[in-house]
Amino acid sequence: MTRAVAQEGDDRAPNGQETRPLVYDRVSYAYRGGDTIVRDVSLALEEGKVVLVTGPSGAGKTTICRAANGLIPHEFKGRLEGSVTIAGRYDSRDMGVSSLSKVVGVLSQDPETQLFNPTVEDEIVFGACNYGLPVDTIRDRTERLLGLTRLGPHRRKNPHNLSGGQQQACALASILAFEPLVLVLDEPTSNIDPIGSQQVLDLVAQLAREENRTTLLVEHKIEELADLVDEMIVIDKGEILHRGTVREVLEHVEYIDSVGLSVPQVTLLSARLRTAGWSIEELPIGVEEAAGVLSPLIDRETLNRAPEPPPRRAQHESEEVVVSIAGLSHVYQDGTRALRDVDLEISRGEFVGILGQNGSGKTTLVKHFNGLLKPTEGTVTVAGLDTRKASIAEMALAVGYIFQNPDAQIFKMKVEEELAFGPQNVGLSKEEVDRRIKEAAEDLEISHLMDKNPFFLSKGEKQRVAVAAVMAMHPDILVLDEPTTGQDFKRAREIMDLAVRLHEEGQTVVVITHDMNLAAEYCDRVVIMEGGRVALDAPTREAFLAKDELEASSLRPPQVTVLGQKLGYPRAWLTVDEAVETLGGTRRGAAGGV
Amino acid sequence: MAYSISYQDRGTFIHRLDPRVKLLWWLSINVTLATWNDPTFLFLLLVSVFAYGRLAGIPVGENLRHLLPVLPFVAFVLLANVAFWRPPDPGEAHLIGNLVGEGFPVLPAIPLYWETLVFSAGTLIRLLVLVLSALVLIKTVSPSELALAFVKMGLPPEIGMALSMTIAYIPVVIGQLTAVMEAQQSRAWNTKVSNPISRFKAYVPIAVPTFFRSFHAAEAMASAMMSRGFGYDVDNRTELKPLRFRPVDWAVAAFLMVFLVAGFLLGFLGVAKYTFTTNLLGLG
Repeated sequence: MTRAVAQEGDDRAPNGQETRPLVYDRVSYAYRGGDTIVRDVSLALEEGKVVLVTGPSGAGKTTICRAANGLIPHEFKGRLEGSVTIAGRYDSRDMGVSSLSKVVGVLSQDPETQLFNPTVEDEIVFGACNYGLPVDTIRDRTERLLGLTRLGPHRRKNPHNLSGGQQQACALASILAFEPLVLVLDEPTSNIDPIGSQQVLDLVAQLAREENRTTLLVEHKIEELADLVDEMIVIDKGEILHRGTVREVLEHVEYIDSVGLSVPQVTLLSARLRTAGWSIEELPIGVEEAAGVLSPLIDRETLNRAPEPPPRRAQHESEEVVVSIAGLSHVYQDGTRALRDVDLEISRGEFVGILGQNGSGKTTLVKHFNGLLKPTEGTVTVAGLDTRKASIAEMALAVGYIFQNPDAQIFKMKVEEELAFGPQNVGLSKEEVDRRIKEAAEDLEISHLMDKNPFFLSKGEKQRVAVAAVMAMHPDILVLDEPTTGQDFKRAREIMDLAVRLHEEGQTVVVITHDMNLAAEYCDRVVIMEGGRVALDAPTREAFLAKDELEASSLRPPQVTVLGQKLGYPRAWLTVDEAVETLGGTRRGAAGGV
Repeated sequence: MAYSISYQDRGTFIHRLDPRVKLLWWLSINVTLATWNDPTFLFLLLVSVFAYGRLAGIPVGENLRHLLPVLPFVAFVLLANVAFWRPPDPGEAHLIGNLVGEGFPVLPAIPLYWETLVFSAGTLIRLLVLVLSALVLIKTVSPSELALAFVKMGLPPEIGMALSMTIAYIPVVIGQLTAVMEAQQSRAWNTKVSNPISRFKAYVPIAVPTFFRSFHAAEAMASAMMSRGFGYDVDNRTELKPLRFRPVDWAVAAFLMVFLVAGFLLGFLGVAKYTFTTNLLGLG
């Protein structure tokens, strides 16, 4: 039974005093049969303020969001302690989700499961109709929201046919249509590309500034949000570690980085320099600010002469070309031309990043490597095999493809059987299968899990099982498909560190990503895709200085690379470590070294 | 692929019809289908479904493409019919020969009659009509329209919404199925095995992850729906476009009713029986 909530705008407590729209009072929660996920969390959102909650995977962020509109305790069963009070009068225990959602609108991270209406317009009005708002009000709000989200031209489209950013904007508009007092956004950009993320964050910023909307935002992109947020909270293992303004919290940037959170690179760089004795009073957050802080402290002449950072690891490139693509075009069944006349060669032992926005053709390109897609025109030869003629088994032995979500492949009841699936499919002997799975399990450090049921492992462990299952095939090339999408920074790094280990043993690695920091940190060469063509193919350091090509592909180099250029460094820093190393020798009035 | 099997507003005359009229079309096709078994009649019915689809802006090629995935199942049913269906009076039937002769080890003799072939062809077309009419319905009635139609016809609103959401969920499941198939193919998953039991087992690597992922997606979708007030106050839900029968809806509905009654009578009176085609072929 749903209880009706009071009319909008009446957000005063029964005693007539102004109240906080959303209050968590000493909330602790454990899912049924699980450990405590959130411990003793207290939060009180002030009207019109934006609170940013950030923390590594498993920190309890989603649990906090679910508690806001009663999904916890009503839909997710477990043990809830403390209380969540909405608009000063509604206890989340006493009212149903659909009633509380009228006051607290919750948007979750996966756009796909939030869109279930046939058109954008139907999607936007869905909630407002459920709450029985007058027809004219719904019509007016829908028009306004279509304008605000720039979805007007797409109003009759199926929401599933929109880009990731547009999908999230559509889901957000559908919540705004019934004008909840509080917005709770759970990692709204984690599944979408940089352009889409920017669209969503711009929209959130506009709502906060122009409509003074109370917002609880769970995000990792601190850099883009620094100006918008009134309070920042860092949470780990269910407990609040730090809270305050963004600047106050980022004073602990080195610690936050150490728990595996993505932090603004220039803030981390400045903090490291300060630890090394540089006189930096306030840590900068943006590139311009950092350039302003660091410029007076460095000797430009010395920086200009500073050498290029050394290669980060041993290079294994051989003369042997392992992927050879000539004149490749691909047209999908519906007539979409996803690739146009692509030529590309990859040598054995390279570590290559395929970069680009959604729809640029990068995934279509790489799905040609293992024959998941066949060329419409042109040829693709991988490890000597023509992908049009090779069998599934031959291609699976040539290319190991690691998908974003390990749940897409796990189906056996034992890890050992999961690892044996691929090698058995290609007809290897039992002894060989046993040898390979043992070796892959040792490489991925999952030997202790071999008898476990993979369905009950943590997401990180499942990812290792998925990688081991592919590595047991001994592929010539390892492909990682968007390791950062839908994952937090820490987990993406774990997967990439694994790839580095394998690369050090001579493995050819290809990473599909739109994350420039990740590409900068790990890839030796990048291929930038734009509109189905190769827009740029160059060593990473060189590519990230190609400002025009990057801009044309709507890609932005990492903060440290841009900062280097602003400070007058003629080469490119790819990581904070490289910048610290170089700047150490350029400090004005210092003997050198950090 | 996944989303082309969902509703798309193509702005045609069919799309503008009241959803109840479109449901009546589907019903009239399927009732007729159930009472007919003659391949000539059923073929004409299949053509009418393609024509209806064309009127709704769905190219014939698109519908043919969407029928492709069901062909293996249709072929299986066809084979089963050929092997096991016998004319009611085999003495009067026209024998072509024996698929399996007398004295063959293990299997009994399997005679093949012309009547069996005609009947099996009817069954094949019937299956195609069944699938195609459902596809065309899904592509021409939006899930929310369908929910409204059911509610107008007296179904509780919750059930109407649940039904429409189930339809909306189809593309999500197809998308997940594709992802799982690609992941398993990358580990040399292969279904090209001749033994039917092995073939069934070969689909386990696809079915298990798809089931679990779909289950999670359904849970997430249910949470998202509730977070947007689903079930808040179903009796006072705002309807932006209340359903109203226009003259054109009445006219089409009347035509479909006539078709439904005529189709049923043709089947009931034995006119659309497979013997119609056997007679045409001179086998009467």
